[in-house]
Amino acid sequence: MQAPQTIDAKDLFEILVRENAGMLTAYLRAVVRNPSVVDDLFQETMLIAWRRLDDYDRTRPFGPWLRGIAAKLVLAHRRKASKDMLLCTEAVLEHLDHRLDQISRRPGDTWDEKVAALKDCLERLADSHRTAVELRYLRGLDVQGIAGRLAVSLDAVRKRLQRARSQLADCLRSKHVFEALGE
Amino acid sequence: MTMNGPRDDRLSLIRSLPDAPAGTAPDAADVPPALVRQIADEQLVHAMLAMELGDAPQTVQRNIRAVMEAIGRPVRPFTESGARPGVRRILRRAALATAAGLLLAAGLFFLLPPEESAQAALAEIIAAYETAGDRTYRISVEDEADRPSAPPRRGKRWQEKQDWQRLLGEMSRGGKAELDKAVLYLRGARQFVLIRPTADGQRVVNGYDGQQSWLARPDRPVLLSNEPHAFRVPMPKPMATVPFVALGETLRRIREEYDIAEVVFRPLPGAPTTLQYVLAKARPGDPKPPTSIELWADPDTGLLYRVVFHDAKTRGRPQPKRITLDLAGTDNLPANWFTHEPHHDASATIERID
Repeated sequence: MQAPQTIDAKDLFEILVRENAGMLTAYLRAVVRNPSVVDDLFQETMLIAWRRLDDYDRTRPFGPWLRGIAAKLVLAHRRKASKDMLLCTEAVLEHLDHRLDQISRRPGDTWDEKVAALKDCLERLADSHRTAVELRYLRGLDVQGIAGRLAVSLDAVRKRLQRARSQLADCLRSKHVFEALGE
Repeated sequence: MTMNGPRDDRLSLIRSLPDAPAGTAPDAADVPPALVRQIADEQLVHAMLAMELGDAPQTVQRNIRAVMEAIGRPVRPFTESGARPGVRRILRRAALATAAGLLLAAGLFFLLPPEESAQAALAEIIAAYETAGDRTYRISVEDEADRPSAPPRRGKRWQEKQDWQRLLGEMSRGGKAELDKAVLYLRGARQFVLIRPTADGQRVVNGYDGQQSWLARPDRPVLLSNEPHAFRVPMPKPMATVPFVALGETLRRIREEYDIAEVVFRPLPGAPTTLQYVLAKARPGDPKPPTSIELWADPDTGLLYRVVFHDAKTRGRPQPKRITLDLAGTDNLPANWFTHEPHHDASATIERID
């Protein structure tokens, strides 16, 4: 006979943190270029969420509330250090919020399961684009390193990576990971 | 085109920001809203790629640990707090569904359905597997006790086996590579190196570095292929679907094709904590080996300490085998360990087969 189990608020908060960690990391990485700043903002967001847990409207999902905290921190950081950022406006953050809301409703328990379609999209890329993506993200090479490895110009590498991301976004739209927003 | 030239350049710069060194601040002025959304999608793809292919999963785990330590709840095996790790996913679903009630009523009691607990435990191990760092496993192959040898077969499967053995002979001239006493290195969900000893004291090494697979044998050219599975461990067809070097696929196959017979906590000699033990059994009527698979995983991290395949059929041997993978270490391996270069002489001939 299995004994009943008890959980406390910190246990539950850990559950919520783990559940939302992938999503929050994606949200921050999508607007912040510097990974160490992403780490700082992640931890700060979660700690503010813990301190303000009483303010959380518990009839609503946790993820958007967390992103609301993160958005304020991100915009504040942008005012101090815009050079750490990718394109980061309120419109960008709002759009990302919608996208992550869509992804959160997809089937799957983990972030990886919810965005599993990305693997299929990667396989559909042209070889030259996929190679550039793998060198950039899997091997961690910078543009110069990739250019040296592939014997192409820096501009060609940048263009391949940018086109690859654009094609992956198109593919994710076709697979309804990114749903039309009716804008 | 001429009029839009400077703006096009600026947009191109913005879209390349994920690849630019820090120091370039984006200028979003006058970017049309539709294009802003497109760029936001591309930046989200950038984040997803960093998480799927890069080191973000390990970073996420570090950040979770830092947060929990900061609020005075150091991450520890759930067994210490009384909550079972295998049911965290169930708790999480419950928490999301009724967060208000649960958060207010911390201290509620849960009775946990065993079948859901089992699936949740497996899902936890799979999730952990996909985000794990470097791991080293030692492989041992033993006869299954108390099982008679199967009679020799001369049908289609026998022919397949002969074909496979011939192929193996061609692949490993100078000594057949053995799985027993082999060492398997894993990084994340995809990269691996498998070092197998041969009868004449040499070794056959194959691997996948995330970009290309490779095979290095004594006194033979090093073979490279863009096909990730080109040099998987050669096994007879029935076992080829259970690739030891792709434990993630094995875990998924367990979830889809096996019944979870047991999920308990059990000590394993040498392990630092009591482990979560999962026993998966082939469904009745499914003849495909192995007939059962044991998993031993850290209840907090999901790290696999031991995997045992029962009644596995290895090449050229009718006697069922028990194949065990034991965790030997989690030390970080050299950055280039999963590429072919560290595993053969610098003077070796390299041949690409595709």
